[in-house]
Amino acid sequence: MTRIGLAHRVQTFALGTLAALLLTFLVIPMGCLMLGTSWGEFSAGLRHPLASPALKLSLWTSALALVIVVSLGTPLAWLLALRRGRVSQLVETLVVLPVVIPPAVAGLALLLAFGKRGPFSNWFSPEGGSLALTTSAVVLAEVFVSSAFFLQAALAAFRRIDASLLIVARSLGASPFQIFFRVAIPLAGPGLVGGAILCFARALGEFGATLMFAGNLQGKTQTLPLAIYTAMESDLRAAQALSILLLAVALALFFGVRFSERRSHTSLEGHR
Amino acid sequence: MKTVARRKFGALSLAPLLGGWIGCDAPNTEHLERELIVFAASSLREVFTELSHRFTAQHPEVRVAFNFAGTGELKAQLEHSTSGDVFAGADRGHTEALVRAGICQGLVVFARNEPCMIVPLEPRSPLTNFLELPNATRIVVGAPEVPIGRYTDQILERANKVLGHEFQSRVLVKVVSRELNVKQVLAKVSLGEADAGVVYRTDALLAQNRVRILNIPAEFNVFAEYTLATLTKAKNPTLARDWVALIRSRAGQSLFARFGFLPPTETKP
Amino acid sequence: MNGPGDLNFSVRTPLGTLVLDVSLQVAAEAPLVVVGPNGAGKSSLLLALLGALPVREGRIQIGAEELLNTQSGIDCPTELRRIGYVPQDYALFPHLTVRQNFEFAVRCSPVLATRLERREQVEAVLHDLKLSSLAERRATALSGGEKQRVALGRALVSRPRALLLDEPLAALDAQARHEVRLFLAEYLETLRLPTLIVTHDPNDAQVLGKRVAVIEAGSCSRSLTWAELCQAPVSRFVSEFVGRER
Repeated sequence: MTRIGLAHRVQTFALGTLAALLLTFLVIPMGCLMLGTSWGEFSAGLRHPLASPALKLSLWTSALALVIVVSLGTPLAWLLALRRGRVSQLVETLVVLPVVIPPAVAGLALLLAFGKRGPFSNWFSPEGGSLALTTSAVVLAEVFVSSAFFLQAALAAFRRIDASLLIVARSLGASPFQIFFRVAIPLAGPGLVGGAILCFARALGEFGATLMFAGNLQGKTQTLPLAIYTAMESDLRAAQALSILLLAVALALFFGVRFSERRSHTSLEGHR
Repeated sequence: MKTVARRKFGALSLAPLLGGWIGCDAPNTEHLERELIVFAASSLREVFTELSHRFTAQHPEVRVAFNFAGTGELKAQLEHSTSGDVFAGADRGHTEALVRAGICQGLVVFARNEPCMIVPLEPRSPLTNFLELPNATRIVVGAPEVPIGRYTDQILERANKVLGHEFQSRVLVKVVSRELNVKQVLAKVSLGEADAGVVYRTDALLAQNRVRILNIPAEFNVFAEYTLATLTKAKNPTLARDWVALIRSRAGQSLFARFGFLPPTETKP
Repeated sequence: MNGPGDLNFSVRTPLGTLVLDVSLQVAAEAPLVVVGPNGAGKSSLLLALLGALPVREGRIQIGAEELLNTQSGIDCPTELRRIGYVPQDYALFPHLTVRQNFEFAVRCSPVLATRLERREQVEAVLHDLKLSSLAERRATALSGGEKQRVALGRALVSRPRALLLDEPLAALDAQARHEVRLFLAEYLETLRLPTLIVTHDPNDAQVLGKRVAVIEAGSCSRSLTWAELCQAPVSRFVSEFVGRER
């Protein structure tokens, strides 16, 4: 083998080693989680009293959070994509900020904003109400932490749309609604769906902000991540089973939507 | 160009080796300081921190490192890790389990704590004693998986037996959250998000500017027994024993009393 | 003289390092070809006429109606100008079929009122541009020449008052270009719409337009016939341009 051929082989090997290191590290804990539980322990864990109410609550609060984020966030992302000025850059930074805010901090912020001592306390009830420690608080916390994931994906997808398509649409007389619903959304479709998956997954897994702002009450505010944390206090095996359940739900969702996304993506091939 | 690339590659390949070496558990005697690692329940945070100052006065070369969390969480961590020298929990059960599993040894009860009811100072609460607890709109207590939550449930059961009138269910209906940590209960009541809660007296005393303490009648009340044990695989077994000794000493016990703890007794309440 | 359907404009606006300063008149029966070196502002001129580029100072008029008059504050939005536009990359809606592309246009049109009128118009244009057999094809599954016809049809189906084409043949190969050029020249004659065609190809200039305007460094003030252009080339660009014809 030539010297260059050898050097190239070594370089590829080095890159591969670095890649393998991270890959292994990511896969091993999940493997231990799943293989560390026997089937019997797993099904016993599923029948744990905390499991079913927590799963139901998690699924429907995350779904509601997703609906809120998508219905309000799609117009927001679209308007930000249309304008390129300094104001819109500032707005974009603001809405993406929740990604870097630690969940516990987000929970505290929500508490200060919508709690008993917050500025809206009198709106909720004459004696001073609070949204904290309610099921709505779960949804609000999930919206807060997950919206940035959808917004970033939607913004990128809308920005990828060819500008001349929009000019043509306007020249044909299309109203803002017509452009938004008939041109922008269909063309950004796969990107929007990808963002929605991330948003739902993040909402499903939210823990810190919900613990602080919504509390921990079975059936009302105890989401699946909270149930796992609670179970860990008394029975690690149950916590493990619930963790596998959450992981399975997330994976099923992820692959399910990726599959449908790939189908719609191939039909739009050649659009650039 | 080639030599620069080769040097970079060389450095890169050394990095994992270096990392491995640094990350390895180097024996404590390599460091200038020795470290005593204490796993303790959250309600012991303030008194143990104060105690650690006394300890370092006695052992200047030692640094005390704490891991404060819910008792059950600490137990789970100890079952799966090898660090830690001392374990202090807010009940007997978790510590006994660790002793049975061979992870801990030498269980001692070193203090007791008394749960009490708290209400926010501001806005002024209409509740004046424990019997009015069912009148609160939103109650926050500990989760049944953590000691304070279990004690709260026991208290409510006892009260129910004595008072009747479905006292327990009337209270439970008003519960809006069962926190995993006594400090979280305290925080929610301090912020006014809950009208009432049940915490340890020692925690309530620390927040006297934000909450008002209402005693739970002795006939219903239970005592939380705080237990201490050293880890069998402790890296500093002598230091661990010194820590235990400090706690059981007169100086240690008077410190506990100052914070509102009760002395340990032999008989179970 | 401004005939009933003529396009008459004069715009002056900064454009990067240049100033776009163009005043021209486009008669309904005489398509105007706009040529010039790269970066001279040709495509930007079309965007300015559409209302997609802000114009600092100027006037745009079709027939008797003013679309823009910066002095009196008139600025008709793009959606209401009813100017057909075919951009350089055709910009067909990739998620729609040919027919749906046309239907999009008629649905947005402020002019065609009834469902029957709209349907008839779509069929008529499909027929005129020989696209009826391709009507159900996805816009992305067409050849270059077919895409061009679809883009043209879509711009025309809502009965615009003027037509702007940006490099209509640039995306085609040499053979297709020749055929489509002839077809386009013929078709534009039947339309009788004031038409502006931007191109860099001298053949287009000769065949497609009755008059030629040269924009250099953003400015242009008159249009000439091809013959006049060849007789007295006013700049190096023009003399190269007309020389390249062969």
